[in-house]
Amino acid sequence: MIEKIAQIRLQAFREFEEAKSLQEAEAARNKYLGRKGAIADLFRHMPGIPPEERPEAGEALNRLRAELEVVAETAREKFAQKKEAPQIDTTLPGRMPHLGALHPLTIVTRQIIDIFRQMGFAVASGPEIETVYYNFDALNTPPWHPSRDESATLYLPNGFVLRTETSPVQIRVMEAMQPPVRIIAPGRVYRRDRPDATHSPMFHQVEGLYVDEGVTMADLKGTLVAFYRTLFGEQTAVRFRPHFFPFTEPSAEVDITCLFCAGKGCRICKEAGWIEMGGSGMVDPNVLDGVGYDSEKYTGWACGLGIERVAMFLYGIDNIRSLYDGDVRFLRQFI
Amino acid sequence: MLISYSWLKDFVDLPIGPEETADLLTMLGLEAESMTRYRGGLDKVVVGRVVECLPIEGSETLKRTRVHVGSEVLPIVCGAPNVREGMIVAAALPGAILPDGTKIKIAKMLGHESRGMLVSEAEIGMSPDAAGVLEGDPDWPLGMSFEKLAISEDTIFDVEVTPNRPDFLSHVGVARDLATKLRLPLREPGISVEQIEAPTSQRIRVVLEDARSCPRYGARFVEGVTIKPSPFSYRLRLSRCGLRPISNIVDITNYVMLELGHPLHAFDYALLKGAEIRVRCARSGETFITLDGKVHSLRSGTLLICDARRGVAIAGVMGGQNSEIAPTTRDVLIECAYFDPVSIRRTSKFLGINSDSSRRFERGVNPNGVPQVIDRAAALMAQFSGGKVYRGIVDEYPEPIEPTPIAFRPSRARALVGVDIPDKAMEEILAGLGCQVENNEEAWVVSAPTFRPDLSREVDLIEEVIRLHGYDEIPAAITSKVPLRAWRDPLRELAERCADVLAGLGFLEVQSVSMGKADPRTDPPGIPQGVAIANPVTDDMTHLQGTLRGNLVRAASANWQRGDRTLRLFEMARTFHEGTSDDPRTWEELSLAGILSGTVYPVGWTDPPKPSGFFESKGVLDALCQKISLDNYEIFCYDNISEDSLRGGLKAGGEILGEFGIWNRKEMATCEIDAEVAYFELSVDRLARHVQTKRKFIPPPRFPGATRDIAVVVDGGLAAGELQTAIQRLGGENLKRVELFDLYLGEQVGAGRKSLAFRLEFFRAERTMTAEEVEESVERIVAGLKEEYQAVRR
Ligand SMILES: [Zn+2]
Repeated sequence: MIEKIAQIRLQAFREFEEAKSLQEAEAARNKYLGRKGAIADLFRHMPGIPPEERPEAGEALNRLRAELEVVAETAREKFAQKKEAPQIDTTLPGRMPHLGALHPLTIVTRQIIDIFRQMGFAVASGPEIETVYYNFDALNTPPWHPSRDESATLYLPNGFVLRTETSPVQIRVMEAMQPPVRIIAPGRVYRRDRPDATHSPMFHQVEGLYVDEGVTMADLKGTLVAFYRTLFGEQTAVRFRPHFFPFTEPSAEVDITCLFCAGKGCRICKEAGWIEMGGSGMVDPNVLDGVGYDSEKYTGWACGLGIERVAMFLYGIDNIRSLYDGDVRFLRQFI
Repeated sequence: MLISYSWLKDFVDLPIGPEETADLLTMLGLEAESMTRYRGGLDKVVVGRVVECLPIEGSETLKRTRVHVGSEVLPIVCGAPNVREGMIVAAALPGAILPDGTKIKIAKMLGHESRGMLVSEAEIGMSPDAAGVLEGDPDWPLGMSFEKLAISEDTIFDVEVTPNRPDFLSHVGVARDLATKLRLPLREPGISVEQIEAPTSQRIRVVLEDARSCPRYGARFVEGVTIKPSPFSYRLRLSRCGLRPISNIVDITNYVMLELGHPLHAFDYALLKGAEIRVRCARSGETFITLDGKVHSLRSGTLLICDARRGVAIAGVMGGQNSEIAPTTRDVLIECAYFDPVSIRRTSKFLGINSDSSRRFERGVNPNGVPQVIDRAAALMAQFSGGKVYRGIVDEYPEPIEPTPIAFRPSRARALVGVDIPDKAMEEILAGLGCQVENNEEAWVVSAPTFRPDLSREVDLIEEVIRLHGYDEIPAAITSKVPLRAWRDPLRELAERCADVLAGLGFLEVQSVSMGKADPRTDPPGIPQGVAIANPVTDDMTHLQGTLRGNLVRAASANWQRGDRTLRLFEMARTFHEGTSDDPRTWEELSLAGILSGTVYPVGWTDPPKPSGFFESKGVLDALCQKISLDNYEIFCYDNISEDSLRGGLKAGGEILGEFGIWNRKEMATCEIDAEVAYFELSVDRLARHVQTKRKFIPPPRFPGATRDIAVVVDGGLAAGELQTAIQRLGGENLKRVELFDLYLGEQVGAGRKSLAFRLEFFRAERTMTAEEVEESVERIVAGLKEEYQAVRR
């Protein structure tokens, strides 16, 4: 008897479930709950079972009837409602406001600033129209250096220069305060480069500067390792390569493990396994003396990197111009 | 600069191959940007001699030659301009396969059989020289396969020489760094000049009129030279290193320059007047024809090498046509001088000539290298041209340039780079680079060689020490002494806040190049030109932007053309402005601009799209001002404006902080946007002066207040803002908030009238307001409005 009840229960649930209309639901109700339905039938057979099983069977049957009445009522409501109110199509999209976004260069700049700030650097800024003194002279640029040339640098008719680096900010900060100095300076810079897929006459840079007693080139390397690992991942290695920058002595180009081949060599790193990220070095004593620091007592390092380059690597952007042309199909990808 | 691997091996026994050498050079600061591999000889290419060379009828260029290749004489048709009878050539025999895949076959050209091909150096992958067929040396055995000919394979590195390293513009200079790095001896070219008895001074007198620009001038005389091609192996090195071989005498000057880094010049002695070299400044306007045939008008600072009568070379830059080496030259005067780098740089820039010679002189060659260099050239000339070298150098060097002693502390080097380099290693490095080291315990005295003008201070030597010791040896510090200081930058914080707010309000941030060119024909009104650039990079980037709206509207236009027509864009960047007559300095400020076009909400399925316009722009501005806590700001509009041309501004504390408005369809037509576009542009620098830096908590009212709605009908011309201000005034201190919630214009209120409905919120801080008090206030307001504005309550 108990098995029979269980069997009918299963069958009934399935039929209510599969009912596709009010008629079918009503038919199921009649079949199980009607006066001549299956449950009534089982009650009728109750006397035929052994007396010791009867209480259990009776209880099970009553429970089933109660269950099915709820199911039948739910089914009826479901179909009845369908008839009265139009159904809500919940697959229609929600009403969304406009979605704004920060530019990838802003996002990357903020990431860079955030990392340096955690390492105790303050953020400084300065003008984009600079004097020749701050942009070149104070940075120890020799008079003959090609970067001063009108073919390399943009000038205003009054002799001012569009800063070619954010390094002049470092001079302005050092003039204004005594060591220790620990700053970064992000901002726009200008070069007389014709625009193409990898060059823009205006781009963004971040420069870092740390001057104090006892600052060494190992500090520089350590800071850059920490910075690039945080930005690009723990697997990133940093390599120093000798180079010449008027502002620093000794100077080093900073390479990091190629992000595309993990150092194995590929097209982007020209099989070298390394990609160039920017310049760095120990601040030239002439620069320190120029701002009135005692270059015997204080030493310091400076480093720079291009923000566009970082953004292009991080997001796989292959044409620098797509950063500047305001195409919303590009900008929406950074929502 | 092209550097030959095999040439380096002349001076240092490199135990490493070309790849490792390139890596080593890179780590020495001489970045090898690319490598080109050249092969030696090819199979089935043999040495031949042209025994006959005749023109072919009906062809301007083709010649039929007969080429002796040892065992036989082959007929070969050749089109090269330099092929001639008696020439030693490379003949590719039938069956030979050239590196580019060309298969040599027996062919017939214009009716003439050709059993092979005379090939150029480029065609068999020996050098980039493709100008004519390869010319071999007369002593090459005919028929010998090029595979067996002792011509080296080589790898050429294209290296980027930084401007501080003139010595890297030579093979010996590069080899010196490699030798030091590898702790191997440097073997400079051995020089022994066979000289005749007659002294050079018999043939030439040198007068330095300007010893400041020309501190040293050395001359040698070689008599009776035969002009012919220089030996093949020398020509090959030159062409592999990017210089075109010309003749033995000219090639030698170039060869020695690439070897030792010191440019030389060779004059045809017969063309020099008066057996005299006079080094003087040119007279302004003096003309001179350089050996490339160009006529130059000189200026007074230009240093000129003259004979007794006229200029014969522009010092350090280029020789003159009037005295150049020609096939008829018999006697040669070799010049090896040291010119002041500044003088050469000025001349080279003024004349627009950037020659291999000027490039070296302007970086600084070695004044004390003159005897070695000129002797090397003279020895090679004697060897290759059969000339006789006169005895001695006529060497004008009135004030010898001595190396400057530099105090050097090994402890300071270790402290600066953070690497524990032993004294001995430092000494070896400095000595290897050519420095004299006087080791006196702590304080050393180091004299840097005069071929390293970049070494003048202790820190320069420290760089050399760590560069040769290896930048890879610098450890990465893991701790840092961080100063306990922190800064806040209110302007940066405000700027970031503004960007975040606008991004939150659905604006996409744009970054544009801050240079452009305003064009009144295509720009909407109100786009200033900005600040002119003296030497713009392109014609459309002539000015620094005076506004951010120009770039925004251009971006909007491009997006509109592409079909993206609901646009909310903003940019934050500096704008640039010309000074005034009072203060003529140009100035810049951080600006923030936005534009809106299209619909209020993104087009969806629910409501009919509602175009956004002036009031959305005003609303965004209002929202921004609230989100940045701008103090007592006012968004105002200018009077006398028509409905489709609304302009206004934002001010606080009496200062104008920016502007906003709309460009109507007509104004946007020039930008090819067929829609109204709303804009705003603010000065972030000025905003920063008016944001509340300290906010104070005001407790919410503890006693319930009361809300009343009133609607009044007024004249259609009355500004809602004016009415609202009046209500605020009339309501007194208990009226805490006035909000316009309905505006109705239509029949029910009559023509020329409008109905405005306000919600008024009253409360008192100290107790619950009574209904009577509230009603009294409302009545006072209504009565006041009636009296002042003839307002009728609805
Ligand atoms: Zn790679």
